[in-house]
Amino acid sequence: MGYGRGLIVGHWVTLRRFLRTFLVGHGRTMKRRGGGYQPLDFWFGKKVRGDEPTIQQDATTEGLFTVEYPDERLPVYERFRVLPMLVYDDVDGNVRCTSCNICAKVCPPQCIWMTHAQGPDGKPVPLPADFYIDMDVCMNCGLCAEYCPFDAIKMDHNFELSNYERHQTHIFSLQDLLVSSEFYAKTHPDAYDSADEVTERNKVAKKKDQRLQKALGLGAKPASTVRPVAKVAAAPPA
Amino acid sequence: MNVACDWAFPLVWAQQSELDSIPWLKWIIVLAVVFFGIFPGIVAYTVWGERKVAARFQDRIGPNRVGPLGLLQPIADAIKLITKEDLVPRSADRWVHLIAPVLILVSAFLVLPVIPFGVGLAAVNPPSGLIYLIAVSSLSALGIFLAGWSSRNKYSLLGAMRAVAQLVSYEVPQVLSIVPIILWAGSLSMVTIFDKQVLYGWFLFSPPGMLAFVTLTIANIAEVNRTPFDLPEAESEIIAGYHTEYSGMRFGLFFLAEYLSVFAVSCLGTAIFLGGGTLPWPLTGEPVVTLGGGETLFAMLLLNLPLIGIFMAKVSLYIFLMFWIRATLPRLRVDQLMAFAWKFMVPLCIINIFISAVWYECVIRPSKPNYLLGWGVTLPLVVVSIIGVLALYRSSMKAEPVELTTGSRRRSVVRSVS
Repeated sequence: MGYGRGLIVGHWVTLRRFLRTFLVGHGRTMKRRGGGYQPLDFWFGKKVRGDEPTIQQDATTEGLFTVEYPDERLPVYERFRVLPMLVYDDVDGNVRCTSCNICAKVCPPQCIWMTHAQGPDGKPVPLPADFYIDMDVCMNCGLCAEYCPFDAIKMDHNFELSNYERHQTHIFSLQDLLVSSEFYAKTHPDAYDSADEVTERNKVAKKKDQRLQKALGLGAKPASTVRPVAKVAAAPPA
Repeated sequence: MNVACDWAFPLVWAQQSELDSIPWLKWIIVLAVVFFGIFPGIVAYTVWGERKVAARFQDRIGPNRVGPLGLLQPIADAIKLITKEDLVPRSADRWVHLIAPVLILVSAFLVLPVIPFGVGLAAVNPPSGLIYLIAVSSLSALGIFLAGWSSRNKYSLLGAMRAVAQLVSYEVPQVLSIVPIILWAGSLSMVTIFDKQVLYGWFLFSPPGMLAFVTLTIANIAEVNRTPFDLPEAESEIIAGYHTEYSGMRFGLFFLAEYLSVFAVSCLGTAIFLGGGTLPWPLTGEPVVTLGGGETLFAMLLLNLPLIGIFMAKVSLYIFLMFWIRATLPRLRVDQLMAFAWKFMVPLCIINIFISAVWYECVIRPSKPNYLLGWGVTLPLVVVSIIGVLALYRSSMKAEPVELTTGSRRRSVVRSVS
């Protein structure tokens, strides 16, 4: 039978939390106070969109917890995945995809479809003429990237996909999905440099060169002499 | 509204002896500037302050998107409330539904004229100021009940009935904890109470005064329906209580009235216990003693600016105390609420009146106040009475049978298994 000890302790606990938001963590300074993009915002020196500071937070964070999202971001980790993206080699500008349709077959919600490209002589060329992903249906499982035999599909990090219109803009076409291999190397540095991917990439690059020369009859130089990654790679193509 | 307030205005007007052209001008200025400008502004920024403070108590930042530090948030909220659609339920009693929020707002506003914010700054000074204050502040119970009843909604009615039970119960300890002040000041006039505190120091600084201040604070929190006494608008139980069916600016009026009465009870506590705008004990009556005496406008300004500043600082601290309690304590149950009022607060306040009479005999009535004797006699009395009433309260709560059938059955099952 206490005489109000719980009341006093409880009030001390809440007051301590109140004071700690001013005394520890980023609440101590005024550096991270937010502010939107409204005309009535008097906070100058705001970072431009996409260049916002990244906030590291974990279980040991004290004081204020709020990450003011559009102005600040939590870090996006490398294996975080949202939508698939199609990689093209920025050296020769060719899409790695051969429109083999394996991703479309393996896709659990069946949200991928594509058409073969045709060469000047009307014969099919191992390139996609069109490649569509319905982003409303995609469940971000990453199976397409796992199964792609030509290293052409990788999973993207971009999660800011909202739109004002969903019937036209939510069907992502080839143009929406294409990214350069340089972009992929930047967003996924660990995976890009891993031995597995280097081996795979070299193997695929050689095959792609042969294939494209055969299909288009172009006198392209062998990729292994041009691409810097192939020089770095020590492992010979299997 | 008219019927309810008709008796209150003659009371005020009869006690304003001279009402020729100059006082009328003063009245118009007071009404236009203070009552329709400053007080709603204070209310708006109290809401902003509450959101900021509550956020900090929960390790958040609070509003910060509209203007620097979110300072334009109240204006945005007001625009939103004014432009929203004003819905009246089809089966509601239309006129009562319309009048109820106005009545509550009027009740909250009518408290403020008698508060002495500084020297000569009480808008009216009736000799029976405290009685008037208690009377008009209890009008809000009528408004709340009208709101709940006219909405034709079971949650509204439940909230209104809870509100009336709670307000009626907690008015008793509220009034009883003001009685020591009336005894010590020998007057019901708020201005006289302020003047006495300028002479003798804050009424808080005595054992019965402290106890009365604590009971008044608890009763005040219950009177303005704030956590832990927010049963009338308990959002997890009865949606929003008596204002469930209100929308747009009529809901805004409830909101305004709620925070205005928070401000008003804080002003009341400050004016009668914390010495209004004066400084505490070592500097008893300080800004008034040093700066008082001039009759010119400049002297009045010089005196009243620090007085109002100190008064508002005290009111802010009092309001912060309410926010702090809101951030800490969970809501009471209805039976706990009523038992706490009638079995604990009321006996304690009645005993405290007798103790304050002892203090009056020891300190205030003698020509040479004997503070040592006063503290020596009343402090043990206060401690003993708190412990005694608390023990009685606990034993009475324990004596009630609280056997639940399901609970006891489950317990017996557990016992048989083990």
